Amino acid sequence: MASCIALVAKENYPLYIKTVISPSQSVLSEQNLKYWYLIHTCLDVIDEKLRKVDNKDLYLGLLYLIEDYRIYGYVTNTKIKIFIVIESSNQQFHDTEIKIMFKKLHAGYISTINNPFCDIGKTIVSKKFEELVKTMLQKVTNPIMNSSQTAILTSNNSQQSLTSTNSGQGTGEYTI
Amino acid sequence: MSKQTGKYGVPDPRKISYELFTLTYGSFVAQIIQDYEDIDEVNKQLDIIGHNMGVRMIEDFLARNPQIGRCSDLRETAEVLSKQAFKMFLGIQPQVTNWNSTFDEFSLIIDPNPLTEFVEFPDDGKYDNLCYSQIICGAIRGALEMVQLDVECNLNTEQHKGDSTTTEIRIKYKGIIQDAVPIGED
Repeated sequence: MASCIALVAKENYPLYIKTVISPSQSVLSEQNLKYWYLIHTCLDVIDEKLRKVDNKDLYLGLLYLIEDYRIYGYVTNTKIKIFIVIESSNQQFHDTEIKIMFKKLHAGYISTINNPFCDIGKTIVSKKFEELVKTMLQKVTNPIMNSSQTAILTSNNSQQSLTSTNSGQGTGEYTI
Repeated sequence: MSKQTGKYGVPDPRKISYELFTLTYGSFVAQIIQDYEDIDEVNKQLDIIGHNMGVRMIEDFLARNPQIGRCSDLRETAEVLSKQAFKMFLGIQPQVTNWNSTFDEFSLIIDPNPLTEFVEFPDDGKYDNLCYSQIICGAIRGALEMVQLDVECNLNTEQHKGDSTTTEIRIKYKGIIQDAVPIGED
């Protein structure tokens, strides 16, 4: 199950990408082109969302569903966009979980920027950031908790769905 | 910088935040590297800057702690350095370890080092010899020089070198500085 995490700069040029299938490729390699294409289509969605509502919410939610991929977006106050692309099968993610992941990525990006030897505006080269992204990708591709949760729910024939309309649900609680 | 509030709990406007200090030092070092380009020269400059700071800091330190008297040996100096001086200026308390057999040398282990909080060196090996916290060594040397103590102060290990994640400063006692007649006077 493929997935990817990418960062796009304010001027909409690519800053960073990490995918599961080709984890050690350069930012603009061929394998990553597919993902950049998907993200490029989402940039328009982001522009729309940012223009329409005045809200200060950084998390933009599920942006786009395209050919089996779900793309979640997050934009910082400095217009740095973070994308999480997940190839969806039957695994669905809680909105809150994705939000937590975005917050962690944002914090990781800030720590990377604070490095005096980091060139802002260039491709992100930082071991700490790579490790953070790797753990995020692992969580996204092998969420053992989530798959067991969906199994329990579907077997219990619950009417509840694990989409973003759920609010205030911890990962361990289910009201049926 | 150990307390953010001055008298009566009012925030002291001269104190700054920890992150601002770290970021300032970081961009300062990055700029020096850009100016000098040679890493050894950069280390030397950081040492000189630290030295200039140290000779001034010692006055401030002794003024605020009038109860500190003369140290009878290097061990007392190490104690005062770690427990009071570092606490006052950097808000941390390094460990004093690794005494050698004649008690002439010791190490200060700074963990965590506030100067290197966000720093990550790029992999291209250009910065392998950079002593990022050299300014602390220079400051220690300058301060102790003003109290007639001649020491040699070097960085042993730092976060980016090897696997260790702490900063170790090696301080070696060289002698007592005798009062010399200043140049130009007879």
